[in-house]
Amino acid sequence: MTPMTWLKTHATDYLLATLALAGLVALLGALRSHLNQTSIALALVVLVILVAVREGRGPALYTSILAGIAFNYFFIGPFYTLRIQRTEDIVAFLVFVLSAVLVGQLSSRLEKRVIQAEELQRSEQLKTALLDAVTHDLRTPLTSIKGAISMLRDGGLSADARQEMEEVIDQEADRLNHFIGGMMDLARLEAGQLTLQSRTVSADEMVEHALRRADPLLREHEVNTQIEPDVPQLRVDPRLISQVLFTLIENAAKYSPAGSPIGVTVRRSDNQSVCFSVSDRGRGVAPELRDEVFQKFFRAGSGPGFGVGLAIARGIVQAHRGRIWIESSGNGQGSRVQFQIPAGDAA
Amino acid sequence: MTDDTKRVLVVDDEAQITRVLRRGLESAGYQVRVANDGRAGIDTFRSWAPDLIITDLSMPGYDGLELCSRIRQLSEVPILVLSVTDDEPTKVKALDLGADDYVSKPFGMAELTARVRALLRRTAPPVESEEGIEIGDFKIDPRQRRVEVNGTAVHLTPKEFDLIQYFIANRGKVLTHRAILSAIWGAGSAEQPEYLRVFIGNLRKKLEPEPRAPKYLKTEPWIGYRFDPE
Repeated sequence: MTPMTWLKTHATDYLLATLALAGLVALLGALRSHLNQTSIALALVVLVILVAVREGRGPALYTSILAGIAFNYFFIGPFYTLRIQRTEDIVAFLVFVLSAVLVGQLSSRLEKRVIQAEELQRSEQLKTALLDAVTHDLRTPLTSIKGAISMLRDGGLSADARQEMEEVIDQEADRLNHFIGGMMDLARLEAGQLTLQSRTVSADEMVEHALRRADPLLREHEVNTQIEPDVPQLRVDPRLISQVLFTLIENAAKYSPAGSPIGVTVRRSDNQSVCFSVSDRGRGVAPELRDEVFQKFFRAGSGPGFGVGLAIARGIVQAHRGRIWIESSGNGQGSRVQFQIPAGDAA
Repeated sequence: MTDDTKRVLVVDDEAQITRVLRRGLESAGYQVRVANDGRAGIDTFRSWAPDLIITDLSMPGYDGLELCSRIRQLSEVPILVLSVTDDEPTKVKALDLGADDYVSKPFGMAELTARVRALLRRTAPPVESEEGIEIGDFKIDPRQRRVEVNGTAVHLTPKEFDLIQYFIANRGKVLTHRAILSAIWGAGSAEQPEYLRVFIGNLRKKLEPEPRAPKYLKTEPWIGYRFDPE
């Protein structure tokens, strides 16, 4: 890092520390007739601790030294000079500077440790979540496959039963493949290796593609599609945006009761962007979970969860410089997931 | 009622797994009904009175653990839980809440139907006579506190007798360390499995033809023990 860039990034920290110290010294100066030297010294040390916790080691050291000088100049006699006459004042001054420096350095180090510990805990939580997801999303289809194969091997099944077990194996193998594909997409998104293959496309085309793909899941739902006539053409990666729509429709179908309607709407949200939304009449998402559902491997309770679907959807939307969010009252009123993306050059 | 018409209730939210279980159990001669979550499971239990319940542990809303404890307030019907391997704490929790046995996913149908048969056998009443109760290779006389294995009398200490009596009453079930300790030594001893290990070792020396490869008193690793009288 060159001195110039260092100065740019850290100048505000030092400036803030200087201003805070100046303010405190002015306040203590105004109240000096009511304060003794010890209270003044303690107030200054408290400021050093605050700077250490907020800004780190460097600014803390700087504030300690500056506070020492100010303490001497304003509050140790003879006032308004840097000279110290009495031996006990010299001791007080040294003790002050030493404790300010020490306390500042220790506090900043402690703060750093706390941050490290929190980061570690977060990564541990993610690891546990990853393991849970692998356990559930890989073992569930494996269980069906193993069960079906063991029955086929034992023989004695009717033609009907045989066919059903073969169907189960086929579908569960597809499910495993789908899960692995999702993990690959997520890895690519996180590594920033996802390249958008954008072209000009209509919203209708992408909605239709997603609905066709979701068709087997939608047999027990009525789908109401509404695409406003003024929605412009978009310049996006149609495969990816249709993947986002598919994930939202799939979740709506999975988490709402059979027979309930699912709504898919597309409208122009302002001059430059388009808003897609998928709504259902399911259980909804509690307010405190509305951000968390977009975390990878998030699961509500012990049941099956969104896994990586919404995390991938968010990654795709963000790669298109858009945003995605959930609206839901969370007590059985259903939920509405919306995402807004810029129409791009095509608008 | 014969074994062929026993009723099995399957509670699982995974459609593909229930398809396999239904086919597998039906071809083993059971009547099967499926419920998709704990709540529906309780409803079917009340209206259909199954002889055995197979339940998954993780389901949305009302899960397998809750189902176990609710069923236990209503009935002693055998409950077999489907759990994932390596999740011992959840298995123990399910067993302590009243489940009788578990099968780890992924499993083969042969293993599952064998467990189902064993649990259904347990509910068959033992033969009682003047000299006591006969179960498999065991004959036990609670009044005289005498035990015979394959016709040979075995001398047991009072605690060992309590233990074997408890095992016989819960034959075929997986019993957690905690459950056994609190049943025999009281709730205060529930956290001392090493206590139990010593007693089980002694019991095996007295009961088993080959204590190192136990036939009756089997270890369920990290969970507890299972007693099988035959």
